Formats: sequence, C-alpha cells, structure tokens
Amino acid sequence: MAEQLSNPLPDDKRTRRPDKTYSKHIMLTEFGREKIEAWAKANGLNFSASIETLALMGLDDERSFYAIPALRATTLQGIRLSFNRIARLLSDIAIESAASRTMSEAIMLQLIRELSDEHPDDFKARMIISRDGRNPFHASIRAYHEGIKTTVEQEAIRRLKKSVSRVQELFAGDEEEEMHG
Amino acid sequence: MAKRRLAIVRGERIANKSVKGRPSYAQMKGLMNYIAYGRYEDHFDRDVKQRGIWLDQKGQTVAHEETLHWAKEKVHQYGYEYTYQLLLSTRYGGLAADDFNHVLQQGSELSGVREWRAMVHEDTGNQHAHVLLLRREKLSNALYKEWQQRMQAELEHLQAERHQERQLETELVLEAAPEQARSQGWEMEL
Repeated sequence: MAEQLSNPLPDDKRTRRPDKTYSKHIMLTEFGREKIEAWAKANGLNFSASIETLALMGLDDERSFYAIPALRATTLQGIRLSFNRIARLLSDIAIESAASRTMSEAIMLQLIRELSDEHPDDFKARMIISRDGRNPFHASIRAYHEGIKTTVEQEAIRRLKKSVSRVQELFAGDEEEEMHG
Repeated sequence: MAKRRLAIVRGERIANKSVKGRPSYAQMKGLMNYIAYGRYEDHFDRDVKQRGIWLDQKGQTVAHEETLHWAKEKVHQYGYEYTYQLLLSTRYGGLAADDFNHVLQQGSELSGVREWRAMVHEDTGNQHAHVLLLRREKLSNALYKEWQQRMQAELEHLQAERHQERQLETELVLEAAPEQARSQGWEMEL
C-alpha cells in the first residue's frame, strides 16, 4: 500500500536532524511501515529519522551517527529498567530491615522489662555477659550465642543465595519485551 | 514512762567478707539457715521443717535453696558487700505477709534497695518477720535511722489497723453468741 509519508513530529523536534531535510515520496508495504514505526517509537525518533538511520546503518555509511540518538535512547531505557529493578530490591531489603529492627527493639525492651521486674537491683549488671572466660556461666552463654550466630549466618547466606537467584531472574527477564512493550 | 510501741523495726549490718577480706556469704548463709530452721542442734537427726516461707519483694514464695543462691550470687557476682538483717516485730500480730512487704516497700525509697527475702515467724509469742537486704555500700547512720523510722511508723500504723479490725471482729462474735444460745434454746423447747 502506497502512502505519502510526512514527519509526524512538530517543527522544533526536527532540529534533532543534523542537516536540512527534504521531502521524498516513498512506497512502503504495510508490514514494513509498521516495523519501522515500532522501531521509531522504541528509539524515540520520528519516522523519517528512523528510516534514514536504518538505511544508513544498512549501507554501513559513516553518517550512521544518526544511530546515536537511537542507541542513546536504548541505553537510557536499559539503565532505567535496571534501576527500577535495583530500586525494587532495595525497597524489599529496606522494608525487611526496618521490620527486623522494630521487632529486635521490642524483644530487647521486653527482656529488660522482665529482667528489671525479676531483679530490680541488678538488672543492669545482669545484662553484661563478660568475655574474659573466667566466669564459666558467662562463657557458656557466649558459647551458646556463638553457636546460634553461626546457624543464623548460614541461614542468612542461604536466603541471600535465594535472593541473588531472584535478582538473576529479574535481570534475565525479557528485557526487549519490557522495553518495547 | 516509756511509750509502749505497737511494732518495732530493728536492724543489724553484716559485712559479707571473710577474715582475709574476700567476698564471703558464709555468715549470711548461716543466718538464713537459722531463720529458716532455727538452731541446727535442735533438729539433729530429725526431719527439719521450715519455720516459715521465704518470700521475695513481690510476695512470691521462694525455696530455701533459691534464697541461698540469691544471696550467694549477690555477694560473689554482683559485689554486694553488706547485708542488712531486719527484724519487724509486732505487739499483737495479725499482719499478713503482704503487710510486711508493704512496709519494706515504703522503706525502699530511702534505702535504694528493691530486692529482699523475708520470712514471717508465727511460732513465738510475737509475730515477727526476718528480712535480708543487701547493699553494695553502707548506709550512712542518718539515712539508716530515717529508713528504720519510716518502716517502723508504717508497721505501727498497720498493726493499729489490724488490731482494731480484730477487736471489732471479737466484739461482733461476742454479741452474736447470746443470740445463738437463745435460738438454740427455743429449738430445744420445740
């Protein structure tokens, strides 16, 4: 189907073209026109600039620098997508961290409250668990704590690996689809 | 003429130290055993029964062994160098264990001590409570006196209240007794 093509963008947008432009009637198939329009939309260019860029790229012409805006647009869109993914992950981490902190504080306060209720004169001293190893009771508490810490760290690593696989999953997503709709 | 007091609070300070000056709760342990079981030789080769129940500052029952552990921990782990042994004695008795705890709570503001172990003895002519409290430092004489006086005033106040309540109860019982006798008599006639 023949169609007279004109630049759909307003005049001020034409300044993106490096040289003066001239109108030229060309004949395109419906399929070809749709593909070029999709490419133009995806790369933030108007129809004429797109068709010229694609043609020059095909000819391996030096002046294919017309592709620069398109590449720039593609790169920017890629960065934007990556940023959004990282922002989503960071939000997840921030939410989880805030919730953990609130819960830890609540547990800590409850512990102090219970201890002060049971030992009103010594609760501050009882909060101190010495490290010098001379007190066998404190040493056993420290040893037990170390054991728990190791287990929890291993669990955290396991969960992190799971999160990393989620990151990989996110980044391995159909970027083209997300970018071009 | 000396005033007849309704209650008396007496105290004694014990240094929790050995002869060599090291932390020691041996004297305190002996005292606690004495408070709980009386003189050891009186019970030799016999099943020993406690003279009362150990109570903590919340009025909760504590086993004798736990009380010993509490004292030992205070002396050896938390550096309490002095023990105050108090005797809270009442003229007419009738006070509940909570009353003695209330008296001690009134004094804790002055002594700065919020933990103690107490045992009420009902097996003598005068109801009394033995109390053990520990401090890291000595109380000044002036503060000790103020503390003792405040507890004594509170104990006297409670003793007066309880005594009055008991007198009232006795009067009511006596008033009700002739009525009951008459009622029984009529029933017998019928």
